[in-house]
Amino acid sequence: MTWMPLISFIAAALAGVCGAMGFGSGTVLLLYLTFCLSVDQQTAQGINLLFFLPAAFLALTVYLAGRDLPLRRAGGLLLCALPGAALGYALLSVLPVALLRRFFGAFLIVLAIKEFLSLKKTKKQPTFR
Amino acid sequence: MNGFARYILKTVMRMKKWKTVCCGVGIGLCNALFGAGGGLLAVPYFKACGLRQKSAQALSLAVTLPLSALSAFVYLWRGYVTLSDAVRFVLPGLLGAAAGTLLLKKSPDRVLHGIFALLLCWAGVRMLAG
Repeated sequence: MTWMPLISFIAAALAGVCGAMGFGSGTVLLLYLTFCLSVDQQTAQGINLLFFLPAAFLALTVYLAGRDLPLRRAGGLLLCALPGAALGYALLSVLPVALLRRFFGAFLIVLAIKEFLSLKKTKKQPTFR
Repeated sequence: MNGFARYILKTVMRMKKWKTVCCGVGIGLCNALFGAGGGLLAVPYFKACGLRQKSAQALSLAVTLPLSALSAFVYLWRGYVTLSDAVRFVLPGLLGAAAGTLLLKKSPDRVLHGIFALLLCWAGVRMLAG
């Protein structure tokens, strides 16, 4: 049991690294919370969301100061995301979320395969920014 | 306020592409329902817009941060989570975030792309497993 604080620290720090790099803090933190601490899924998601806020704020401030990012694109995407989120909140207690997770998982694997296939092209591509 | 309204109108007018709409709604849904995963969709979207891997990952935070703030508020309000549940993870999280910020700046695009693909796969498998 004496190891638990250390493991918790490492898990949270790793989640912070992932969150700040844009990989999503959930990839680490949700796993730790649900498997190691057996927190229930919805609470774990809430903790992940709360946890992400300061970490992402810190990282984003640094990125925005350091490089010229096209924030306009992010604004457009965010504008579309808000109705989606509103729909999500309304359906949160109605939808079979466990089933949806599986669909989303399958979709993520398809995306992952696409990323693997395009990996060869990312050598020294002359894209802007 | 007038300027903000005009910005929203202009942005909506410019959204000819359905990709933006579908991606955005998907990101919002994921963030609300799964409490995670929005960024995993935003990065491929930004790359399809022509950004390089590093910028796409950095910019994805600009979308997920406001969304997560909103979702966190809803989760708190409905009582799914309390602030005291999360507070002990914040300090190590901030330390990790500082390290991650430096790492993203230093890492080459190819490495980031590889890690991103692996993590995407990992997240997919975990979601599939339930």
